[in-house]
Amino acid sequence: MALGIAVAVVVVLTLINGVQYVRLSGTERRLGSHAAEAEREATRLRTEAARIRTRLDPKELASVAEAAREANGIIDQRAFSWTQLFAQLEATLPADVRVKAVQPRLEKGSFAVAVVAQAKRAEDLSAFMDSLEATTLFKEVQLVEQSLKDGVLEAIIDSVYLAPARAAVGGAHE
Amino acid sequence: MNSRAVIERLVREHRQRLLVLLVLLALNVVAGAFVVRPLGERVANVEQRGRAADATLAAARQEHAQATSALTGKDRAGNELTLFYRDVLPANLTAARKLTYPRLEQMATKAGLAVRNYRFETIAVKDSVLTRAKVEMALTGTYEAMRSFVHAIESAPEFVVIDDIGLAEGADAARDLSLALELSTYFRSDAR
Repeated sequence: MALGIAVAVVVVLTLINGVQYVRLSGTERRLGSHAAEAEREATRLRTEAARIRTRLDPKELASVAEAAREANGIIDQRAFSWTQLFAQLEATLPADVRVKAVQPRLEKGSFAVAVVAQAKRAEDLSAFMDSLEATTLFKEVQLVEQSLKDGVLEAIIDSVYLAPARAAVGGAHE
Repeated sequence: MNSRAVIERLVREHRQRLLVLLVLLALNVVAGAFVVRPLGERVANVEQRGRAADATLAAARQEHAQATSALTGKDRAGNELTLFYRDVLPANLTAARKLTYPRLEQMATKAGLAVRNYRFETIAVKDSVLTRAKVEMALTGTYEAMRSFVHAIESAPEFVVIDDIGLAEGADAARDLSLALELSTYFRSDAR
């Protein structure tokens, strides 16, 4: 009986050692192969990236980026709808205020619109600014300058105009 | 019979077998200590190496993607710019002039405005391959005619940008409006 137990202990120990050895050997092979593969792939990608970078001239890259920015700015200006802007101004203009000049300019991707408006009373100009802001298409509406000319108040009103997008840009030419 | 006597009898009767068992036990202990345990440590190291390799691979993939993206982005932007310069903008000064004159004047007249003054000049755009062809027009007419003219320019296929609009009342406040319009188109400077 005691001998049987001793045999069983030795057999179990041998089995545990054997199974552990086989399991760990397999894991080592598998993980080692995966790591080596990952290292090879990383080296290949790094080499490829370095090769691509040699084809990129930083000056040329900056020049293309600048030209693209310029072209996008011009396209945005072309896409700007004066018709919609006038429609908005007409809808918000109080009876005693007149628009003398309108000048949009592209600033950091959005249009700032300067409106030169004339009125007899400051209250009318203020009402005009309130109306612009109430449309939600004009933000940061502010009076930049006001002067009295021939008894009429002339004000430069600056605002950020959230122009609705227009679909088409100009077509082809010679 | 006490246990000491049992063990003595067991050893006496199964000396050979017990010896084999002891050797096997010793071999197991040695194998566990010098083979299986170090193998476990090696596996832990390989796991760590694998994790490091995965991190290196992820960084290399990102580096590669950035380089590829910069290259394709540059190529795409270059192609789009070429198309823009060639197909959208007038090709040269002559094309820019023909695009604006007498076309803009005709459009203004058709809208019901009278052209009082027309001025054309070219301005080199700083640090750019483009030249700006600037047109200044002084017009008179009704507000509705001005709106119609502006809409016609916006709807026309020609690439003309309205830069600035100035309005002033004319002699007849109800009918006349003086309109100062500043427009631009662009062409490649090296295509002069």
